[in-house]
Parts: sequence; structure tokens; C-alpha cells
Amino acid sequence: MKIAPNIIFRYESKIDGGTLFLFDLKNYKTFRGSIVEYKILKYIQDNKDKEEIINRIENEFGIEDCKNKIISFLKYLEENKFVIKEG
Amino acid sequence: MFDNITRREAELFAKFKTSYEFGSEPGFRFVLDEYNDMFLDKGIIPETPIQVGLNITSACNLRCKHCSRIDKLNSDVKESSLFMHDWENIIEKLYDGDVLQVFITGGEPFMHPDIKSIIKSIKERNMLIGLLTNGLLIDESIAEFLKTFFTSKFDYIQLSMDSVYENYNNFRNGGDFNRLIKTIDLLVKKDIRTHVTMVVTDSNYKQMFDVYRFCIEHNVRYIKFMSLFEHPSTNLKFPRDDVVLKEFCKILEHYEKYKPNIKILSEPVALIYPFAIWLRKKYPEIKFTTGKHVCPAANSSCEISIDGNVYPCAYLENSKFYAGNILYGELREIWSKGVNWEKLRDRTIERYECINCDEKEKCYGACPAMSYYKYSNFNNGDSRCIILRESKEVV
Repeated sequence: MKIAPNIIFRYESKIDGGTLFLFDLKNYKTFRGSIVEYKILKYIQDNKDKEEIINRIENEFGIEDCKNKIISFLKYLEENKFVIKEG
Repeated sequence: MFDNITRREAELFAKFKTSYEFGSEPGFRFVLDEYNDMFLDKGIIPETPIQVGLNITSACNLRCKHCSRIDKLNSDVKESSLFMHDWENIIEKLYDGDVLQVFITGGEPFMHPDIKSIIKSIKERNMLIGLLTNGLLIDESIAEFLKTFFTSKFDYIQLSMDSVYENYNNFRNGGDFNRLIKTIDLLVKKDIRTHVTMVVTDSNYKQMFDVYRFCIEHNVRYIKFMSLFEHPSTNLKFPRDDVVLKEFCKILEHYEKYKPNIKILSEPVALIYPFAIWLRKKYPEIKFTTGKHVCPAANSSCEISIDGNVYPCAYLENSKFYAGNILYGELREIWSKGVNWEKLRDRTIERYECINCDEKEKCYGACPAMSYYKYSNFNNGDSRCIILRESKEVV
């Protein structure tokens, strides 16, 4: 899985207590998200696979039901074509 | 002020400025607009720059008349750059700082022996690239490399071309127009997004249509017109916005009639605000709205020089605006500590020369560097402003 070429993103900690900004250059839309979602995108960008992303996020944030939330977010990214599957 | 402009021309220009469909397109501009709305208009500065200019070399194969760096250029590549591992280090820091777009500049970037590694390193970290070049060193192998690493719609090559055929070398000392044609045809054939950029000066403004027509004939899809930055190292001047606008309208007339397959990404007018003031009085029925001018320097972008020093922009590369060296610090920290950068970020400064201008709340004195070079401060307004010019002419 990798970030689609039309997607760029960054994190701004001063906005609303910390906000992910994801820009879709193809459709000229902006999406907002959390620090956890930002970290997931960054791990995807760093070529980490799904299992490793789940492990790292669980360790870093200790969120309840972490695995399902991450899987659900990854599905959202795929459905919106923010990420593309490799191979 | 703009009394040489006819109603038809005023309508055409107003249409160009208010409609993306007319030829312009937002592109990465969309992100900048979002940032202006969310941050800069509210006085919030992003934590790190969203765009960075990376000046990788002072080596250049040309000596262009209007180059703002002409005093710093040399021909020896060895003298002019850091080692590749330094560039890797810098690019990693830009990535860690969430930089979205990197402009590779010089000198001539393709004079740098590690240019391919630098491009590869940036693209491996998913940052967008705008590469500013004279194009004369691009051959088949480089074009193929760019095709492999560039994302066709979002990364681009910006080729400088200020006139065509026999006039080309009047500006580009050492240039070869036939070689440039080969490069353009090669890049277009390989579907690499190519912008042709013309810097408009008092010596070439009558050739704007020729450059535009050349681009259409060679299937270039994007053209940019930029007003000259009147740097002390050039003897060239920017003409006047009314004169340039008149010439530009010939292009708009052609564009309106024939709808060629080209996008005009910017107009050559230095400051849009005086035109808005004039239009409001002369033809109040023509709809024309101006957005707020936000100078990106130190607000959303910065420049990294060939030795890793960080400055607000390419025109303010001097010790008074030094923020740190990226090799010895983190981008986030350097970005927050630039000397005199707060003056570029302060949107409440009342620029005394412009204090009575109807558009001062939108224009904010336009390019601070133009004021700085002319008056050694940021408060005198952009010296290309036709209102300021006319007030001085009257005096």
C-alpha cells in the first residue's frame, strides 16, 4: 500500500489541538484528521505494512480497540483512493 | 492610470482573473489558498514551511541579464555544492518537517553531478517537485529519468524562455534556442509536465505573444508570465502594469477566440490592486474581485542556499535574514527563529507610503523584497506599483 500521487498531507499541532490536513490535488478537497491518522499515513509513506502499523500505533497511543480502528481507517483510505495497493 | 486599456480588454482580463476555466488552474495553488484561509489570514504561521526552495548549485551554463544571482554564479561545479550525504540529510529534515513541495533551483540544477540522486531522494519521500531550469542540459537520458520519477500531473519542470528564436540570446547569454526546442519537444513527447516561464521586462514585453504562440505550436500545456524582480544586479526594468496588460490582452483575445490547448498559469501584471481600483471607478459594472496578497516568504515557504543556510526567500539571501543552517538544526526550530522574519509575518504594519491606498488591506505592500532592495526596509511598498510610480512621477 502506498499514498496516491494526488495526495499530500501534513500535521499542524496549533490548529484545534492538533490536526491532520490531507489535500487531494486531483479533486481539490481537504480532509481533516487526528494525530493517530497522521501517524498511520506517515507509516504508510515509510512503507510499513499493516501489521507493523498496528503494532506501532498500539504501542505509541494505547487506544482501545486499536486494531479495528486502524483497519477501518485503512479501508476508508482505500475507498477514497487516498492510498493505492501495490503489486 | 490604466486609461490605455479598452473596455473589451478590461472585460477579458477580469474574466481571466475570475475564471479557472479561462485557462488558469489552481494546481498546488489550491493548497496555498487553503493555507491562506486557514492560517495566514488569521495571523497563524504554520509550524514548518509548506514549500521550500532548494538552491543546489551556483554553477550555471548561462549568464542571463535578469538573473538575481548573477554575481554569485560560477562555472565550476565542484565549488558550488554540498556533498550528496548532506543533501540526503537536508531532504530527510524537510520530510520530517512535513514540507509538501520542493523547488529545485540554482544556478542550473542540471550542472549538479548528483541531481538525479537529489530528485530520487525527494520523490522517495513523496514530496512534490518543481524544477527550475534553462533546459539546455536535458537530454534523452535525463528526460527518461524524469519520466520515471516525476508524477506526471503534480511534479513539473519549469523552463525559462524570455523570447524566441533570434531574440532568445538577447537575454540568455550563452544560450542555444535550437537546443531548447529539442528539450521542449522531448519533454512534451514524454508527457512530463512542462511549464514555460517568461520573465517580463522593459526589453521583451512586446514578445509575450510570440512566446505564447511558440508554446502552442510546440504543444506546451502551461505558460507562466512573471514580472521582473528589479534586483540591483540587473539593469533591466519592469515596464509598467498598464503597458504590459495591454500586450497581455492580445494573448487573452487570441485565447478567447481559439481556445488553444494551453493553460495560462499567471499574468505578467506585477500588482493587480491598482487595476482593481481603476476598474472600480471606470467600469463599476465589470465584476472583479481581488484576493488577499500573502507573500509566502517566511509565512509558508523559505529558501535553503547552497551551503544549507535558511533564508525567507531567494531574494532575501543575506545575513540580516539568516535563520540557521539546516545541517546543524531541525527545520521546525530554524523556522521559528529567523532574524527579522517577524517583520515578514506581521500583517498589521501600516506601510506609510501606501497608507491611503484603497487596497492596502489586501495588498499589504505586495513584495517586501522589492521594498527592501529599494529602500532598505519593508514599509515602502513594492516599487513596481503603478500608483507609487505615478505619485513619484508627479513629484
